[in-house]
Amino acid sequence: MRSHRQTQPLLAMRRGRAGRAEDRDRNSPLHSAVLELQRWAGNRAVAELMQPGSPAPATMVAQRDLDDGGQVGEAPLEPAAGEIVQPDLGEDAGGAEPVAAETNEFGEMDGSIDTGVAPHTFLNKGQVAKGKWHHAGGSGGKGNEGVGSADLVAPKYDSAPPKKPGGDATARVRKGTGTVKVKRSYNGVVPGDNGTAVWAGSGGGAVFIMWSAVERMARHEAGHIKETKKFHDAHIKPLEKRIKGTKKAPTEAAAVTALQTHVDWNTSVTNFATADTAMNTPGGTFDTTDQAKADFYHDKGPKTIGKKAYGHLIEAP
Amino acid sequence: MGTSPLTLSLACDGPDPNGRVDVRLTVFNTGTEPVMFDRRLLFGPHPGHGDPVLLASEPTTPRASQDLILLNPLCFYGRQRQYQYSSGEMSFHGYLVTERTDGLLPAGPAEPGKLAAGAEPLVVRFGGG
Repeated sequence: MRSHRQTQPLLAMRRGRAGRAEDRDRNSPLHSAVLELQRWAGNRAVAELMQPGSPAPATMVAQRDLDDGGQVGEAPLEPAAGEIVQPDLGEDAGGAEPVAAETNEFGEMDGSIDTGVAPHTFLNKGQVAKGKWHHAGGSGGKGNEGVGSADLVAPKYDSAPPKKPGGDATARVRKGTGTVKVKRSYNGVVPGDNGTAVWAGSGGGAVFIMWSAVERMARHEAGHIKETKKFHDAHIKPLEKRIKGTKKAPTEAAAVTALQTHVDWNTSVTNFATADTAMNTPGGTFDTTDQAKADFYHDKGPKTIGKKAYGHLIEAP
Repeated sequence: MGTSPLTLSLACDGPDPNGRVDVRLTVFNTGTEPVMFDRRLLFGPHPGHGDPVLLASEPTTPRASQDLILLNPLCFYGRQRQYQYSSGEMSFHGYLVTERTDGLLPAGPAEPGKLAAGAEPLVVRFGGG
């Protein structure tokens, strides 16, 4: 479920090329050491070690404390399945070469350095926190940003007169304007006792969420973000390309008008918001489709776990 | 299972003054031959809508064979769930699908061909209205 905007601490971990080598690394002594550190110091410490610049391998682990059927202990440590991701840099991330603003007499880079690649304005923060299920009064299992939301800086148009009589005036969008930043993140759900059911019809009762459902809920939330990105790519990415364009016309006013028509800012932004809202609003297209899937979690009824009677066992098949 | 001898029905006790109702889904073998079905393919009883939409099913078992139910002629299998609403009407549903499918809607599978048997919806009025 998508929900309202909230500020949440970001737990950033690197994932990417190194992360794809995690299977290969899993049996290495280094991996074992990371697991041991994770058990000893916790996820946060390991996550900090995985920050950019850290010498630690980019392997993700998730600690599990599971109380099921009276057996208390740790389930096998597994990679956090898509829970924590770095900002999506899109295809432009590949092949970017740092370019220095200046070089000295020996050709050594000087001053500021920049890859020259503009980061895409779609920020997939993934899972940024965990909490008890929001259908049991907690903050987990929902998105942190409103559906259809985006931070906008409307374009400001600059124009220049013709350079010579009879020439064309030019219009372009002022740098730093005409930006659309779309950020999405979600809160995961903790396994086990999640408190008391608050959804309509539940009749209360304690809620126990199995790991299978925790993982399915995370995939559901990640799915919302994926859908948002599709609309971003369909409506905002082309807009970003058009923003970089220029238009020429006999007069400055005509050039600006031509550029405004070319950019078509409001249409793109509105189309994105409308599509994202229809798809990702609670009970919307994505919820309806995903909840109908065979692997979605169900309410499996009452069950006693660890001597506590639960009214709702939430488990994915 | 197009000519399945299994029939599904819904019944309830309540609602009580607090709006609590026990809804039962029953699978009944009306035939004269034993019939086996997989209870993982049986959904309900659950309300027709809600947030979240939570279908009712049963906990997983260590072995798939433990989910196979053999119903002899004129025998039945059932599942009960309790719900609570303060007012209004709610329809409850239960159905059996022929196979695992990605179209599990509250009132039945999205593909009619996947429905093995379905119960008539049970409409319950809450709040004494």
